[in-house]
Amino acid sequence: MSAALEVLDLATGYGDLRAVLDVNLRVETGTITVLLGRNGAGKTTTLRAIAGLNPTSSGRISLHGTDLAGMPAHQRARRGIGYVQEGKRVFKSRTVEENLLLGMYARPASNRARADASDLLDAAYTQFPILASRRRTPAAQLSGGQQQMLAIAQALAAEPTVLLLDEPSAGLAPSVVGEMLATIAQLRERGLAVLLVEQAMEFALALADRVVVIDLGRQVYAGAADEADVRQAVRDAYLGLAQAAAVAASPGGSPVESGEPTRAGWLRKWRRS
Amino acid sequence: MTEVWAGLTTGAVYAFIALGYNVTYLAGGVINFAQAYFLVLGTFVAYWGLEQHDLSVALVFVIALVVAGLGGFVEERLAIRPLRRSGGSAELVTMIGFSTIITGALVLAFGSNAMPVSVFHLDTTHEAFGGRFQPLDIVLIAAALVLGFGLHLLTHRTRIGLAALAQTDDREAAQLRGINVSALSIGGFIIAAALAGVLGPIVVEQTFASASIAVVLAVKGFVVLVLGGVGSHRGVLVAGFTVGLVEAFGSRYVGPSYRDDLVFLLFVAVLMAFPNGISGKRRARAV
Amino acid sequence: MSRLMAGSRTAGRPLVWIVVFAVVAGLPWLGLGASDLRTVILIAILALTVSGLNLSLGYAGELALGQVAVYAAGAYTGGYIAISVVNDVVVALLAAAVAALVVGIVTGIPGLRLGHWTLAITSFFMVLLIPSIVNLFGDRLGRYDGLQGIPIAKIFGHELGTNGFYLLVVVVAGLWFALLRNLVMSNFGASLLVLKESPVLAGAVGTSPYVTKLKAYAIGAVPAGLAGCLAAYQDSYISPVSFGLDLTIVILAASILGGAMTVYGAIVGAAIMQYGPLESTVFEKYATIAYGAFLLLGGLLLRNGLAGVATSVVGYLRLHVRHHEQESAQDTAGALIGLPDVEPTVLRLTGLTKAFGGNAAVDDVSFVALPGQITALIGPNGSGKTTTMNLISGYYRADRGVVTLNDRDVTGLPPHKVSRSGVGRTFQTPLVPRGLTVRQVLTTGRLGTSPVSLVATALRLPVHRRTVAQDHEVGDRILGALRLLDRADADASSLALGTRRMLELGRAVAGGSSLILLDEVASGLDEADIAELVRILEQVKRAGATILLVEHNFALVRAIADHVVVLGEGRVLAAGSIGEIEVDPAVLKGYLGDGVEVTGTRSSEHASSRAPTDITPDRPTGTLGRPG
Repeated sequence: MSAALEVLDLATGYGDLRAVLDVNLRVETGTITVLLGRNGAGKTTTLRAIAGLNPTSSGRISLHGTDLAGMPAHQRARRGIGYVQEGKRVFKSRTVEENLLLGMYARPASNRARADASDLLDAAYTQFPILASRRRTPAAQLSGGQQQMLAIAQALAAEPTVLLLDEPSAGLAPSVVGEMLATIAQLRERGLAVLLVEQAMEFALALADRVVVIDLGRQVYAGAADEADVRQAVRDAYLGLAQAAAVAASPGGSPVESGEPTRAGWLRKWRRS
Repeated sequence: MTEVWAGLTTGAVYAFIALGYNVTYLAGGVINFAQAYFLVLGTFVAYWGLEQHDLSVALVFVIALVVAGLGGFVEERLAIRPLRRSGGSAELVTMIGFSTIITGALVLAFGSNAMPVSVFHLDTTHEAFGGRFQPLDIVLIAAALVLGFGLHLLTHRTRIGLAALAQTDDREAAQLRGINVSALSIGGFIIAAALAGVLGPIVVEQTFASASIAVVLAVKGFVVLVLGGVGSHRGVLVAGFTVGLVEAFGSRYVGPSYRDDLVFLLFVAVLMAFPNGISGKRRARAV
Repeated sequence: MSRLMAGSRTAGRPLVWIVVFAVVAGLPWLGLGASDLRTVILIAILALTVSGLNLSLGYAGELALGQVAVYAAGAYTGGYIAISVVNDVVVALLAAAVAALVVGIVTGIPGLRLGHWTLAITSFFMVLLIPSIVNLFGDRLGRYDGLQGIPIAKIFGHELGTNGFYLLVVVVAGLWFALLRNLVMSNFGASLLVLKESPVLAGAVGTSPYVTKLKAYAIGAVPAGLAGCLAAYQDSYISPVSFGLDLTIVILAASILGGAMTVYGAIVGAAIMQYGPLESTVFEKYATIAYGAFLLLGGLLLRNGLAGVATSVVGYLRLHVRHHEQESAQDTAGALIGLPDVEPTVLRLTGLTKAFGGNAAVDDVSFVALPGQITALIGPNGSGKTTTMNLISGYYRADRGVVTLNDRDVTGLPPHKVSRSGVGRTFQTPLVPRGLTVRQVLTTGRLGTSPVSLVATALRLPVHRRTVAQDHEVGDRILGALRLLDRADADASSLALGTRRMLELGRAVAGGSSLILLDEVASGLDEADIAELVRILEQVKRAGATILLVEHNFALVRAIADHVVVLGEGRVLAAGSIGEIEVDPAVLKGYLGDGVEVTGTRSSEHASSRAPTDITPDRPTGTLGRPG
């Protein structure tokens, strides 16, 4: 059985800027794959290419075996790719209920009967009770965490088979992050194939079945999340390369000056261990 | 009181233009500067068909609709679509260019005089509420009201209207929700242009067939749009009638040569006080 | 990119232009015939008008189409003075320039508050009103029949012949373009690009958006006024009808066509229009269609939008930088000492309150931030952190309460004045103007603290040169501390997010700010970037600055904050050291979460089994783990 989402040798970017050079992914149904990497590594660019917002210069993206080449974004949404962009991009001047109705726009045509619409709304309100009490509130008046919940609920309303999540925990207070974790874990139970982009390593590793690490547009590691060397591989990718670059760039070689913490030293401080 | 009828009638014409602006804005995020030019194109179709070639009125309406609709399609493809990713000023420039081409072509074909056209052959004058009016006045005012409220219902009570409203918030997010934004945009352009074309034969008895009024209508239509609030059909109706009334009464009390100055002052004054228009909705801005 | 370089390379060398100027000025004596001389005059006049439009287009992409109104004002003023006051072309030109300034500023005022579109349409409208406004002046200006009988130009009593008038026009145009080049290739030019990027940024670096816009309108108006006056003399007759939309379209087309190259593109565009549609008699019938086609094509070809014009403005700035780079290459080695010390400043908020439509976003907030310390302002979304920061910066006006810097009250001051009081800030999304190099972006931080007058800039007086040298020195020092010196001439907007953040921080420091406000500066940064950020912040601290940090990244706050203020629903929940607030019950409930607070899903029972304060467990906990 083919994977829900398969990405082969992907290369894409923005105009002249080639942000992604070589990425390979498989996301199976009912699993969560996490895409990790430093800032500017090409994670969001990869998601955008899968969703159809960025053109690909080479490589193949297929959904349940079907090649998506040339298919515009709105059609990919209707085929079952749900994309929750970073930055809580709900329709700010529309109410919560209108946002959910808009989410249903991309539902498979066979399910478009009216009765289904109110069922789906009810389901959304049951899963996200906080939205139920704010049906008629314009999305702009919700807090950041609520907007993020709405964004996810909106994407789910289209009954996608593949869900792309871009940094869902960004900018959320620590107390809300825990709920976000639980919500996403649930998606796995529902049989979705989830591709999750994150910078917060621990948040990501708590959820992942598979881990893919990208650096400077290229894939540098891929493996199951419970492999013993995952953590080290990720750290190496984040730090090893960064450190090597820093040593090469600084005049005289060593970044250690009197009293100034080294990168490693500062990180130790950060971890409070 | 005659001024009231005159003002409402003029205001209805301005409202037609502004409603057209609303449609292209809601459907595609662009305020189509050429709307007034499509209206004028329609008036020339009426002149050509009725005064020069003796066609039936119904046929003239159809031709106006088709020609203008086609114009809208060409404009969207040529002047708007290629600039999707650039700033708003470039689109304004290409729209002005396109509109200028229409004016140039009309002058080349028909000359630059304002020519009267007879469409409905209802030249009677009536009295009501102490003022004189003609049946055409009622037609125009009624048409504006019907169009305005019709568009309002379409925008706020239908699925496609909701899609359009979402698109104006965030076009990319709308695509991700399965909305075909490029079809919406081109559909909006064609419909708005066709609408303007069809209104041409209706307004021509009032405005005459004249290439030079296109820019005046375009500018005043924009004034009405900004005063009423971009995207608000009801706001634009109210603003249209108001501006028409100000013109009519201004013309009487200050003189016809300074009538436009009065409208201009009113425009600037209201804008400085209410930068977002009377209805307080979104700020007038290019894409 | 290469087109830009090519343009700026030739355009920058003053010698080239002096030679060109001399040749053009000498054309009558080199044998050019009368009708060709007339063409050159018309090109010069159009170029002057277009250069004004290029300035407003270039800085804000604002279509200030009211250039025609200004041109008309110049023409009528010059014509009227020549007929009824004194026939002296110098007096007429000066009067025309003044009239143009006034009309330019007045017609620009709506643009101060309204957006681009509205400005464009408003100026279009004004052009329609020109005949009726002329009519207001009565017979003096000839009403709708036009102003007749403008005499042949005289200068200091001598009549100017054909060649003499030609020389006058060329000299006026030449002088104007020289001044314009000086103005644009300077900090003033940079301030225009800053304004184009964001009025918010303009305030943050100490420039008032209104004042900058007005300056741009004024400067853009002067050449149009001069052009109108010269045109009036040229034709001896002005008709109100000639100042119509056709002229607006011609000016716009010329601007688009030539504007893509350099600021001198106004000349190129004018030449194209003049030799093309405006000259050819065959074209006359098709003229309007041709103009429209030019606009359509021109707008399409400049796919980068009218930013093409902005890049030409920048071409000058680039050249300026390169010139200096050669001088100071030797000095960079010694400048890496660290950041300059600043005056210690105590930030004190007392009872600060701000409500938006009934919701108290900030409610009676009071705290103190001390110099040489990092004070973190934390709290959940909607707790008022960003509002507080915007209140301090001056983007919002407080309903109640006081903000003081060393006991100096800055409450309610507009952003640019707050900035000039020694406050620098960064933004959640870095505001880095397009078209500036890294060094130039850094230097914009000094726009508020070391302003140079327009006159000094235009005439390159010593004070201008001194300021430029100082800017360079400060730039070297800070770029060195940021380890960005090797990228000083790179295009700033192409940098990665983390580097742009660093640059913003450098810009905030460049102005000598003693209070630095950082808005979620770590958001979106990876571990390596954050390490670098911390290094810089330590340096800024050591220089004695007061740092206020709004941050969500609690681990970062724990690592570097000396003092923490926690906000919740607009109020201060707690303030103290990290250790103290970490165990404060009010903070645990409202922000860090003790597992009981629910704001979203049904699965709160799952959430409570994690300990959210410890974000870095060694192994993922089993409750949320994988199936099987």
